[in-house]
Amino acid sequence: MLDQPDTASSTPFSQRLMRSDGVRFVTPLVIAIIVISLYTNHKNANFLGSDNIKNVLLQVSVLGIIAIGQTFLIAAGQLDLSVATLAALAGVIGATRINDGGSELWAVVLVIVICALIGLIWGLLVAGLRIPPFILTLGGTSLFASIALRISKSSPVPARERFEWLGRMNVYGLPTPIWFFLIVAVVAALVMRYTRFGRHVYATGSNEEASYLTGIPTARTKVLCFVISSTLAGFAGLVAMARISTGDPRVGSQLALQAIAAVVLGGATLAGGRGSPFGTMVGVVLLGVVQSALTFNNVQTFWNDAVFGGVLIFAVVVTAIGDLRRRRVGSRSVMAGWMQRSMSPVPHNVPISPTDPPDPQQGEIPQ
Amino acid sequence: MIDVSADGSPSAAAALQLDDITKSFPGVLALKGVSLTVRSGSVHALCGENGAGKSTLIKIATGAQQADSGTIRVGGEILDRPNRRQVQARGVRAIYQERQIAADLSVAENVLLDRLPTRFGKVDWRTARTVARQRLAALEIDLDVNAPVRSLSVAQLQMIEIARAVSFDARIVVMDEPTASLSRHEVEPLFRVVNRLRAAGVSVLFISHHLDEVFQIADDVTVMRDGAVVAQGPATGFTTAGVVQAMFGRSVDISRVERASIAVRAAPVLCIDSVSTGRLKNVSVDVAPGEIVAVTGGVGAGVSELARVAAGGRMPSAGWVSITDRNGVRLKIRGRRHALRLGVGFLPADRKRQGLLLERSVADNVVLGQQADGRAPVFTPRRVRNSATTLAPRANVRAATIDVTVGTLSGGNQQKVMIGRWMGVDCKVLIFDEPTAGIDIASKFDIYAELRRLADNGAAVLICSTDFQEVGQIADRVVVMRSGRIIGEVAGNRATEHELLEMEMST
Repeated sequence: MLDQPDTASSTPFSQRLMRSDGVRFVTPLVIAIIVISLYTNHKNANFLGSDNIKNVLLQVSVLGIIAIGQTFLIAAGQLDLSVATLAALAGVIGATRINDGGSELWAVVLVIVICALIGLIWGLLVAGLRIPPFILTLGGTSLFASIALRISKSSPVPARERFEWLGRMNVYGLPTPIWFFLIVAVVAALVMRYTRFGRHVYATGSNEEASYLTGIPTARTKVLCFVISSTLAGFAGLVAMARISTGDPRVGSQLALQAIAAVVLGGATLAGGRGSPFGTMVGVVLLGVVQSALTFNNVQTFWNDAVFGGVLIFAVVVTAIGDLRRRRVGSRSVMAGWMQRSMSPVPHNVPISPTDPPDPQQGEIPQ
Repeated sequence: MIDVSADGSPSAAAALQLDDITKSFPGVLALKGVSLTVRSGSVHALCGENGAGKSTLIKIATGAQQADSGTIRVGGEILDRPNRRQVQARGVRAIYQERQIAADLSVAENVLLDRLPTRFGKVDWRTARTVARQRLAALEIDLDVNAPVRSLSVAQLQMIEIARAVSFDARIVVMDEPTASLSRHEVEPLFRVVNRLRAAGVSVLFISHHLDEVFQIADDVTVMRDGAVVAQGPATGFTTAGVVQAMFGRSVDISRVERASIAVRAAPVLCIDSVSTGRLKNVSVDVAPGEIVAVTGGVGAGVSELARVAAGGRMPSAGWVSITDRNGVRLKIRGRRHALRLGVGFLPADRKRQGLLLERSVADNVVLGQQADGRAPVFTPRRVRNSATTLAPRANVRAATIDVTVGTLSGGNQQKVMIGRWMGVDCKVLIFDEPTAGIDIASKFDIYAELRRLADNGAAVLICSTDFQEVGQIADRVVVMRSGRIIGEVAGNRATEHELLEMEMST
């Protein structure tokens, strides 16, 4: 009787889809985007006009590129707070290089290489010396901010060349920053879903010790994630600089936290093992839509941060409630007990046939 | 149902009485009218296969979950679907498998925890230490109250929890598999403490998978199967075979299975050569293809450390581990990943922390070996599913589907998932650290069969285990260690518990 395993079967695709992290986390975001858009559009029909849609996407494209990089890190259980000031530093270096008389391409390559190296250093420190990335990159935040101010002599650096192709050119009717954001998101989504590296990222984030003991190159995976994130942050900084033809050392000090917020909105947990570039992309768009809706509804600007914080808090609470309901009985959280009593528990394992009821405690078929 | 007890009526001597408890979860009736009485000052053992409903019953008794119907009496008082706090207020204390310890505080603070004595709002450390010392002394627990808890063993932490429970005036202590995380030497002191509790009139209800322990300590035994009590009564009315029969509804053969002997022992594929680390001292072990070699010993023998070193998870300070490849060339292992590339699979003892991605599916876990080993850059979701649907059945994993979260499976099935992981990689060497820790008896024998099958297919199997019974049951050769050194070797069929204990004790 023990030799009749049932695991050859798998849950039907439709059920898997409904329970997949992507659908679970992205659906509410999409609904939120639609509701907010329709409401605002009802008051001002320009909201869903192509100009405003383009504008919203353009506004979030720099944030989006940074957030996609952060998705790799967070899925691997890591974090980088220094991406915002690194982006500012990248813009300043790019503008300065051009003014010193170099080609645009050379400036871009230089900045990308510098940022990749910074990511490499972060990765090696975190993986090699087991330094908590939170503290390390918090230090980096101040460091990069200072260097950017030093290089720019504390004032924005106007770039002599205009970096048209990087910041303002239209391709098929869309400005290039939007294209960059979309391309980065699609490539990241493919990498995370279809490559061995992507699976190593999730495994490392789920349980680093187990992954290491299985033979997964956890150190290399973490280093690569830092390199990817820093490189994308540098690139985002260049795009931001190109849009205004100025390397501003103080640009986007909020970007790091907003990026993390977008990643978490998209279904990631800071504990690692979860998160998807697609979810992040939708999270970024939601932040942009909220921002734009506030403007359209003439909400005074000092409410912006409050709304941003509120959206984030609401999202994590909803996610946590969803997790509690999914989690098995026997969780020792007070909330869990309360939830179990106040809501009907949702069976997680749907049996293949009605005659094979799953055991909610063991997840096995009672024999 | 074998009802050995004559007295089923509520009596004044009952410390905890559960009557006709039912509990259902969506789709399943987890408890089907379970009754159980813990007499005052007695030790009551609760036995049963994983999934029999023991844990659910314990959770209901301690107020962590609420029954659908049935009554709970604590000291004669009927409680209606009590919560944890209500049950605790009446002197029922639970000690779970996970330690509830503040690791950075001292022993005294952990014993007294939120009941530190204060004077004028300031903690009175002198009294605290004195009280803690008294609590520990009353249970004959030998611990320095000033010691930082971080430095203590799991067994000692458990003692602290027991002392804490008693210092909260517990009248009933409920323990969920208290011996699961202990080595054989640590069980004796635990049982001494349990005896002290019993002598002091405290009742103990505990779950155990080790029947020898049950008979050593318990006054009464309840055996559950499929959510119902199948046997109940004084321990003296039971035999080991009887309990096993009741647990599984059939007899389970627990004798050693002799493998067809390896006539000519092939050249070893795994060579551990004079390895030393902080704990190991000059250890050498060889394992040939098709052979099952067990390394055993007590606490501090370094058996688990050896497993890790052999798998490449820790580099030795002296000596080396090598693998002989197809062409007969010996290659030194340079790290865990390198070891994997040479065909070494490793199953750590602590499945939850070191083995599994607990929140991910069976599929994700079972393909982890392939995923780590392979070199191709692409690994599609489709490939994950295809691999998983072949690997999981090959390892006899019992789960509803491959999409079940692995953390919800029983210990036995989790271990099979990990075995399946290495079936996908074509391992030449498999290293098991405590292959059946926390696994019920029937699943244990499943795992043993699995191990034998792996060896029959030509894998070299190294088992690092502190379970002498287990070692005698499956190994072809047994290597005995003490304090990081090898002190002897014995053929598997001669490795009785008695023999091994004698070897280990001898000077």
